[in-house]
Amino acid sequence: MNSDKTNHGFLLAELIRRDFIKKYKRTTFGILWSALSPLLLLLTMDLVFGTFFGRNMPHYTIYLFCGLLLFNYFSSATRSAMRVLYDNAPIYSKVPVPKYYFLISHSSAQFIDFLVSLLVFFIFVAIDGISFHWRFLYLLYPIACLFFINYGIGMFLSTLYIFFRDVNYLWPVITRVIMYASAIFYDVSILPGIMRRLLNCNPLYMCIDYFRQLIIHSTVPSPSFHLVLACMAAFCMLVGGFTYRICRDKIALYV
Amino acid sequence: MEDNKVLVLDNLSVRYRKANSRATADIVKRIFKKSSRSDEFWALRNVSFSLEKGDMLGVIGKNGAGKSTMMKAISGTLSPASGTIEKEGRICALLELGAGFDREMTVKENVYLRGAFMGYSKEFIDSKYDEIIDFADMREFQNNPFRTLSSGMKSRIAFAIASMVEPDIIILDEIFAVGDGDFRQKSQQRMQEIIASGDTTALMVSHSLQTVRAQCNKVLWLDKGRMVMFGDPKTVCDAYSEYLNTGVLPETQSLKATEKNPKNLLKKSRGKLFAEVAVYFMLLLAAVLGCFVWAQYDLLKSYVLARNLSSEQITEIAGNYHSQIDQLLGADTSRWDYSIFEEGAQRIINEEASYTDIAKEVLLQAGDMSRDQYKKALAAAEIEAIKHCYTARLDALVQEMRAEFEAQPEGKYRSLMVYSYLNCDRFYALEEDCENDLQEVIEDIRSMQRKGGLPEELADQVWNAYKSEKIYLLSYYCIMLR
Repeated sequence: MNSDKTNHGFLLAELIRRDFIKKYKRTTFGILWSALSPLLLLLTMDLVFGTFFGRNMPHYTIYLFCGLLLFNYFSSATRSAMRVLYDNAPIYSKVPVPKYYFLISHSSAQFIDFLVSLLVFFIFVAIDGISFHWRFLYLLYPIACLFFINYGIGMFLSTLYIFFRDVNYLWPVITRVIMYASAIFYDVSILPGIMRRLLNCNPLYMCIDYFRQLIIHSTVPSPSFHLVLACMAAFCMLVGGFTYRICRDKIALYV
Repeated sequence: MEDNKVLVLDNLSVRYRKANSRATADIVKRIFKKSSRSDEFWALRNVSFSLEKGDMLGVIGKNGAGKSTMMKAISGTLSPASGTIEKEGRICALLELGAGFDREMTVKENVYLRGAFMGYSKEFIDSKYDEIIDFADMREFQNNPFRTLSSGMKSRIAFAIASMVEPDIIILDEIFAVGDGDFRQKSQQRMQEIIASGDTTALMVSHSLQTVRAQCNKVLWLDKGRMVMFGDPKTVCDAYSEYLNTGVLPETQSLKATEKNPKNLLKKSRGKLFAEVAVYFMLLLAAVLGCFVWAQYDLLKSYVLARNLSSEQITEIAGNYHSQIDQLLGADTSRWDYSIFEEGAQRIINEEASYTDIAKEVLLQAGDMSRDQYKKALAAAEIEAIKHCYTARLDALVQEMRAEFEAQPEGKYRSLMVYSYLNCDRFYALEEDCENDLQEVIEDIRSMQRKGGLPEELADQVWNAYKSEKIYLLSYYCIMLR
């Protein structure tokens, strides 16, 4: 059995490769879509909301892009993660392989996708006249947290999807709510105090806020902010892991 | 594990849920009925046997006897409901050849992926790749997407990958039913080679008694998930063909030992599972608690801060910041919620709350603040409270107080209050002009106190405010006295 364990790295690499290739298989632009889709969305939203909110806010485009970038990553990662366990059922019901490998590889492929968008984002940051600073390295922290948040939620949804297909219809609605609760295109100061407090319970908003504070205002959020973000990521991972662990053995009987 | 034993099954049972039973319905049933046994279906019950190295086991039985389920459980893709499987070495399972490949990817990519699933390294597959492709005879198709292959081709490539190394345990689930004659011969020959080496233990599902008799040295007979017989090919196969003719099951030891619901064997592993779940649950709770505490952290902090302050301390703090008021009003207070000032002022006027209460609320709203900021907030809150009183009730008050001032000299201190409303942010100018009026106000207050009409504590506070020339403090005491 030991020989089986030694090569799991290669298996993971192959799976990530597969997931990433499959995403843009048979498209003309291929990986360029990772950069193009947020750009197109940004263009539209900047045109629509820029006139409303952009007037009295400096760097509104970057403000918007921060939100869009992270929200896109979140929504596409969680939404496609939902089907992972279901779609790969023909494989793991024939070949004994830990099922969470598919989840890990899916998350990683989505993450690579996100990194491409991030590159475009930094090009925009440069164009907008924001100078780069070593403190930008702090961004690795919210990115890592968001990865784990997405992984945890993906694990949760994917497991749930096996048993309740209703998730397929429910999750897009929840995603929409999360979108409005993430202050992507509006300024938080238009909200009353209690709403702002609620907004801070949204991990996605916290990540977006982290990006904005660091890039636009070049301030590093407080240690408690970091701690909470870590707590939330841990929470998502635990919920996902918990659900997966409980249902793991039953999945093969339901697919 | 005992010597030479490669595979040991002990009371293996596998349970399915019946088709069409939905998870939601299951849960509801379990809540109301405690258990939903009627939905359960035991695909395997109390199957126990062991194989030694080099054994070749034939599994026979009618359709739906649990043969494939057992193979899945042994290969590890299904987890048993109870019982244990001990196995040693690399298992290679050929269950439904051709299934589990990715349709969109090319044959070559699929070979690497499948190899990875089976736990091989990249170098190993690199070295074996040509051999696999040649064996499956598919060199010209290697860059075609998998979906374009015929089903025969799919099984060929699957078999070629699966048989490229000599596994310790090989599981063959009716795989020779597909492929053309040529390939079938080739694959059977390959199988023979693997088995003949003597290191491999094979498990084979077959409906052909002839094949079983010829190739196996042990046979397992399953019927409706129960183990009917396990032993040498001759005895079992003879009994099986007799059963096929007569339709009567022989009464064997193992059939009698089969329980109806083999449930009590899971205790050990269930305990372990519960422990694991409990740990998860506790971590989850801790995380939830952490999130909750943080979400309310600002609130808790300022609450504690505000609660520990006595009214004297608040007064003192406010007094110290007398000179900073103008500056503060110029400062950025946009992050505060102004409605609280307005409401607070209104409540002071309506005598629903004391100034201290409102100050606390303002502080709670302002959230995360240092002590210094807190003091500033307090001072600004005071000013705001007064200002909003002014905007809310100004006109009426001015009229009312002016009239009162004309009519009765003892209403003088009230008119002062109106002035202070009007001029609270230009109070310094007023200060000198009203020196005498203020003294009269204080006298009024003291006389009221002597008559028992005023709380002693409040009178003292007003007196202290007057003595230290904190006129804006006086103005809000006036609000309270009105």
